[in-house]
Amino acid sequence: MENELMILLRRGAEACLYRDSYMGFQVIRKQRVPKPYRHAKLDEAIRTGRTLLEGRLLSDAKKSGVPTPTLFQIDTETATLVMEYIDGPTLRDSIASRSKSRIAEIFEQLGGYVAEMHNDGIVHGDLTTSNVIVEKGDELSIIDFGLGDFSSELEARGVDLHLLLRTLESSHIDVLDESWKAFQEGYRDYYNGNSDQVVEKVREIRRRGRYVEERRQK
Amino acid sequence: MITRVLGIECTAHTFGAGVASDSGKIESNVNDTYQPKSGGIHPREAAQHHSDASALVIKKALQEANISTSDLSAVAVSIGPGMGPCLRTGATVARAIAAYYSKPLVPVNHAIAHLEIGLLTECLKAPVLVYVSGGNTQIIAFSSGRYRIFGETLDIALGNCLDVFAHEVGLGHPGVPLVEKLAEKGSHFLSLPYNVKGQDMSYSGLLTAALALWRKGERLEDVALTLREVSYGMLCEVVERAVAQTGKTEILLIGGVAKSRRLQEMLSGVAEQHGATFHFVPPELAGDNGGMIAWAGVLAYRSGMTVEIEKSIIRPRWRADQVPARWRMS
Repeated sequence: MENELMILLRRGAEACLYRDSYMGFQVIRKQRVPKPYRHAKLDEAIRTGRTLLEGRLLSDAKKSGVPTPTLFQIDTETATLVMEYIDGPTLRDSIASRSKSRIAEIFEQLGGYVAEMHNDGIVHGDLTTSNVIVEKGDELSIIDFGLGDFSSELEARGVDLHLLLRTLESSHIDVLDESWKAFQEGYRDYYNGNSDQVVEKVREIRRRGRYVEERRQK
Repeated sequence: MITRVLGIECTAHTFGAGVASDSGKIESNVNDTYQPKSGGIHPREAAQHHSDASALVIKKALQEANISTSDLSAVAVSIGPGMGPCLRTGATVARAIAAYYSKPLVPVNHAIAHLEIGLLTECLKAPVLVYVSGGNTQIIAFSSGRYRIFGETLDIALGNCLDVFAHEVGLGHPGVPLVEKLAEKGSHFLSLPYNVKGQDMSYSGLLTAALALWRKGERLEDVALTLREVSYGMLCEVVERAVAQTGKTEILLIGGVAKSRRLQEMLSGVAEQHGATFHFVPPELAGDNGGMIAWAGVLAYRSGMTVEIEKSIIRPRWRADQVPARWRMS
């Protein structure tokens, strides 16, 4: 199974990402590597549990109509996920080369996808512009559910939106207003329920933030 | 003239006094710790202890440093974070000395003092700091003028989790070394909730679940083993994330729980995974102590961070990331 041509793409804190091929498909292998410093039983439980969870989230999100990488294989023995390789730059890197109206369209679409995911009880957990791939024809794919969870809590949904807003503020300040507005529109159109509650939650989370002056002066 | 600062620590269970000079020498470090008769720290009783102990501890600290009050450049005191009654006692003592001998008063953040003493003794500049004690659990890194909190506990401190467990099952106080010792005899790894949320940890549910396992009749040694491994494992995961994200090459363990052999071992394993080096503050400067307040006082005093006595209010919830670390800005 191990392929000699496997290329290490990224070594993160938790997992290693490899580029590989699998039955003729271009794939990504995400392996949660053992951590020898922690108790072997704990290590195994964490790696297996998270690999299974991420696999379920990926495929369930897809069933909800959210474009995510197709899952090919879950190997609990080595805590590895094999999934479709999505070709394209991240949304983060795509923004500079798009017109403002195109950016608004992309974010409106993204808002719809996130709403559909939330409708079906899935939260992404790390919703940044680095975790959205823009394929040819500006088709979006949402990747990396490694910090995701099954949750229908308003709080968890608010955390998703809050992180995206923070990413827009820190990395895409010149398109902040139109992208955030378009995202909310897309989200509102698809969200089963009152999306104002989620947006209000984002404001509440923001007030709790660590470096917010208004909170400190209380 | 040499800058010499008297530091007074008085945030929780320890009343401490120390003298530090600007060469980075801790000239004295005298500490007296309140021992609760049963259970945890009772803030008012602790404050009473500090009030009783203060005169002798300060006298000893000056004697051991071989100086008199006239040799002091300033008086530093930890005004937070900590327990209100304790902080008020320490601040009152420090104000009295500063006013009587006409010395400038330097307010010190207790967490910053833990960080700075570790950086001093281990000769480090920019590590990922792991601050673990009975009252605090934070992963901190310096960035653009301030110590930034990368991740922290959402509820109780790691040390508190083990202390309360030890107390509830009748092991006594302090809990961390007692739980660790018992864990050595554990053989079965049980199941306990592992709660890392992004970059933060939660320990209160873990404590409740560990106590429930014990009440259900599981062997105490096994519960201790599992509790130790899960609680430290959560911390290590966040530290590893901090190292991977910041690209820093040093890890420094500080605070009372820095004495833990198992935690030292695990964090040095984290360091190894990322080609970083691991360091920990020496045991005599790990727990709350006056020497570290004196050294942080030297740094703050040299940066002109003094306070008028009338304005020297205590700050029980003062966070490390609210302090402009002016001495690190040049």
